Amino acid sequence: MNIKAGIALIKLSFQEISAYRLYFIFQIISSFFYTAIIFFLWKAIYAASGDAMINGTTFNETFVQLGLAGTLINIINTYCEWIMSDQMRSGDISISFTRPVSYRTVIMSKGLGDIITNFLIMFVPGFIVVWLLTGQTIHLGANLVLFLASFALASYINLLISFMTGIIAFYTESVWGIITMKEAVVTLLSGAVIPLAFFPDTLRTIVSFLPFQAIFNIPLQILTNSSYTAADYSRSFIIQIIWLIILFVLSELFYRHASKSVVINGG
Amino acid sequence: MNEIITMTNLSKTFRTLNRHEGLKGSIRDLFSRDYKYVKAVDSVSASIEKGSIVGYLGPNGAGKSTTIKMMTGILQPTSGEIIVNGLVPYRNRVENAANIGVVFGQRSQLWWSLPVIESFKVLKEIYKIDTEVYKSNLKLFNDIVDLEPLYMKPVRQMSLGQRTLCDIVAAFLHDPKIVFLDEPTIGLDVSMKSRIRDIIMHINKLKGTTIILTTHDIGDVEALCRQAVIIDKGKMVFNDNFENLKNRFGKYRTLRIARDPKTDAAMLDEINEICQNDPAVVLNTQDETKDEWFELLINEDKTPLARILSHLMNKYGVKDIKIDEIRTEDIIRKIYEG
Amino acid sequence: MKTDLKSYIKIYFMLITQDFKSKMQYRADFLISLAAMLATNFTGLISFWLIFRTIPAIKGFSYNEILFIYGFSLLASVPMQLFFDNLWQLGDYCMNGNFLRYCFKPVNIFFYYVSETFDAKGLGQLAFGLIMFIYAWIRTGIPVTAGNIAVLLLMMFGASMSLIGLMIMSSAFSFVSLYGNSMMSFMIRFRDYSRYPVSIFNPVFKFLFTFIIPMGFLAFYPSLYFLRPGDHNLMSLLTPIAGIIIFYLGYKLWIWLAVRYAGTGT
Repeated sequence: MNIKAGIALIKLSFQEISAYRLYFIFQIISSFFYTAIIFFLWKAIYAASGDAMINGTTFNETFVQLGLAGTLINIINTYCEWIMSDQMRSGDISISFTRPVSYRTVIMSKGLGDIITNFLIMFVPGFIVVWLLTGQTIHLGANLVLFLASFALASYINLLISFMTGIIAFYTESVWGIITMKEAVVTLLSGAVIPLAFFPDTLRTIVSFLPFQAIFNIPLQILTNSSYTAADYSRSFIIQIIWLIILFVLSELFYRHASKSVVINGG
Repeated sequence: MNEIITMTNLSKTFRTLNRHEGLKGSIRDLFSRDYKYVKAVDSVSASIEKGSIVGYLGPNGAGKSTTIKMMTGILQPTSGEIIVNGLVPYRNRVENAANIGVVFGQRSQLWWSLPVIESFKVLKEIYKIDTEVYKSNLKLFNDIVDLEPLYMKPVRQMSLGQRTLCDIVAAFLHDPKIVFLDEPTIGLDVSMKSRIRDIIMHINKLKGTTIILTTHDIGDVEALCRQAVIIDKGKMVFNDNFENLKNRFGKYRTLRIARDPKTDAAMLDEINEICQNDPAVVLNTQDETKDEWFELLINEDKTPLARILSHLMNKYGVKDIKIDEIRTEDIIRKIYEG
Repeated sequence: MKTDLKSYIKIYFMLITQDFKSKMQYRADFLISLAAMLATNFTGLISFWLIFRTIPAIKGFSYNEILFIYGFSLLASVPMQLFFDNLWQLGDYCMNGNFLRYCFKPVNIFFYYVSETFDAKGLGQLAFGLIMFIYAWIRTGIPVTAGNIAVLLLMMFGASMSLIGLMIMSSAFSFVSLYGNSMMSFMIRFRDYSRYPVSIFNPVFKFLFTFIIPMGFLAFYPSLYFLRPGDHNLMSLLTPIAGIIIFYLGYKLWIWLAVRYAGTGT
């Protein structure tokens, strides 16, 4: 990947996105409502169970995880698969192929730029709301730094999955269908709406062999799980890195195949 | 007189917020009462005769589309009166819409992925076109431009020209009394342009449809229109027979002179000097690459062309001359430039 | 020429047939979209099951009762999906100016706009919702009487109209800003939580979901009529009226902004 061109493109998307101030105000308000709904829903669920713990997790742990996931989803969502399919359908993609930078770099850099901007704008308000609502129980220390590193890896994993989704959408000519299907799977299996602790054992075992839990569950566990040892941290990072490598190689193969057919069919 | 559209002191003023910069500015804008008023159309009075083809001209942002929108009933005038077909359009949008056809340049009204004949069938239903009328109209259009080979072709596979042709036909399908055409020939090649002008001309003659044509292409106006309305900055600056347009600003002619390259280059200086002293003479173009040709626009009401010509021929070697009537384009440009 | 109801119906069927024909040219897309629709519903149901398999009841509502509310909310969303899906395209149409083409026809602009699509993949949701709802109906032991079915249809009508009205209002933002679609996504996200009892919220949010963003009418209030028949809850009786009012307000706002947009946009 051409680093310099990548950085320039990241900067560009930063500028582009900051022109949409109203969009961010909107997103933050929307996140706030979502967090409130999650809060009341899970409060009621824990009240209904009568126990302080369900499936070995407390209300605070569950809420921190889901509340933050609500913000992280907004941060990680770059719509790059929609942009890709739009460009493929309109034929604009052929123009991208005439540039000296690979199309993959363009999409990935734009995605990363969007995520960085989103993060800078949306993370702090989302974090503070969750932090206050749980009575400041999130430990603020080295885990924050580790979380940032893990979330960076998670963002990249998510981008690679989106990129491949975009290519599959192109092949099947079913943009809405493929992207919606991917979103349904990622939302459920990443632990973004239901903590993985609530999954039955067999399902949890299956999920642990899939890349999706590396997007939300791993970074959020690193941030919130106070019982994590050094071994747990390193295991988490190793899982993320392995998935990153696998998905990177896969997406490269996808991309090569797709760019051949774009060149042959003219987009 | 048999008028189908009359506008009396028609005005439309838009109110827009003066926007402020920055986040603070946009919050302030939420509560701001700081408006600026723009007169898009400024007391226009004009009438259009039934069965005529009227060229509606003006530079971008002159108020053309605002007027058209008032005629079609999607916009209410701020003041003044407009009557189309005996109806006040904005009070009777639906009724008015049944009597008109609209084609907006590049924006197709046809269903993208369906054969065009399917779109026609839908229009037949929407406009409640009688089956006999529908059939005879399709036959008529087919006779004029040979449309039938296109019927089964999905619109998305058509060329721009074919699509425009179909869009225009679609606008005439329900025998409207008035058809509004906005830039119908934009982006088309010469032969397609003439096909489109043909069909417009034909239908106008056969059915007596009134046609309002907005365009930047003077060729369209010259080929089709008898009446021209020119609007600039919301004000009507010309409304008359198209032929009178040429006489309106004096009797202009274009003199083109080819200088003999062997004689000295001082001729250009001389011409520049004449232009400076006499406002009736304008140096129009001076081709940089082939600098032996000069083009002079001369108002013969004030300065006879022959005098300039003989003056130059006496002093310099002239290889060739050409004298032309003024081009419509030049007149329109003169009007826009004031 | 006044367009009467009969010809409106005729035009409507003509338009959706055309839409159906164009979609049939992309059969693979249709099948994948249908599968995606079912997948979304299915993962939603799994999430629901994952939560409720650990607790017996929530705020006094049993698992089956909440399933009833859930099923109701899915069914009430079907008309929006089937008949008003074109609202999601409005942002695009406004941005590129193509919306104007709906303004010159001798039919109601809103009617013409929404008639242009019939989203058949909503039938997948209809099937899914029906199975779930019938299952919950049987498990909760609500008597199957002609009266109950008549009220159910009335409630379903009111709930659907509320959702459609809210979505129409949200989409109308496309006429004045770039955020129509964000607004619609925002609403849909709320819709997904309308399947839980409104009583779990604190008074502020209860008020909000009843009067400001009235998602309560989408499933919870109408379901109460069947789940708590003795209560004679005022809100559940108001559902059909609320639906009509919200739809009417949404429609009026939409038309008003559409005409304003058509007047200024080029």
